[in-house]
Amino acid sequence: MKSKWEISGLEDYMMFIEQAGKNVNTVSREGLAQAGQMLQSAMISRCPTDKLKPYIKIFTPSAEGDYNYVAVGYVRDIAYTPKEIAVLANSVEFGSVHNPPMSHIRSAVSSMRSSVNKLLAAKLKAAGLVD
Amino acid sequence: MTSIFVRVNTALSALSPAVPFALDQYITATDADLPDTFIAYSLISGDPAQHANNAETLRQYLIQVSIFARAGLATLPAVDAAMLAAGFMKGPERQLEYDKATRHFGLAKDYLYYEDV
Repeated sequence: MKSKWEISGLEDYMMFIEQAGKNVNTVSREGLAQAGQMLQSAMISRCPTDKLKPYIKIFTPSAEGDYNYVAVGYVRDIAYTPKEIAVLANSVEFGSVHNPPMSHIRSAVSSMRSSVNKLLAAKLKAAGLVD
Repeated sequence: MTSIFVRVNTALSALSPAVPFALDQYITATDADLPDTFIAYSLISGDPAQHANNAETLRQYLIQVSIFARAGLATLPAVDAAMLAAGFMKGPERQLEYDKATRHFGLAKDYLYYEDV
């Protein structure tokens, strides 16, 4: 005795997944661009010294396959962040023997985490990709 | 309600052997007076982490504990054990710049604490 299960419409399903993948990537990259700006503003507003503010930058939303990301803060590249700025930023963010930490990167990320999540969820919802 | 500062104070007071510690910055008359090993801790952020019925129900505290030592970073006080025992969770850590004036090496360690509000 045997039973047979037949699944129909699999081609349509696979096409939907492929299309959704493309839409998710487009929408998430748009969302990340906005999230990058939100994070940058939050970091700059918390930064205690004007000397560092111009170096808080958005590393353009990037993608590796389906992995989308945006980097915001001091770019770890001497072409973007001179050595003395990197040393100062490190000392301000994390503190030293002589000064307590005045965190503006971590505290901005921490406080914006829920807003960024809400933004990305709203973007995906508006695009009809999630309920 | 026990404040986050009291929680960190209690955790660091339990270190054995005892290590001098201070909130924000360990201040002495001169750099030379600084202990060979000491700890400075700071509250980095305290953000609402969860809401229900338009009210905050959970808050996340991010604490940085900086350990400074003249003898290097190979052997350090058991801060992890003390903080974990007090209910904190371990976060990232990073080496701080060597201080040529006071001759201290530094290691900053982040800890998270979630508190029901």
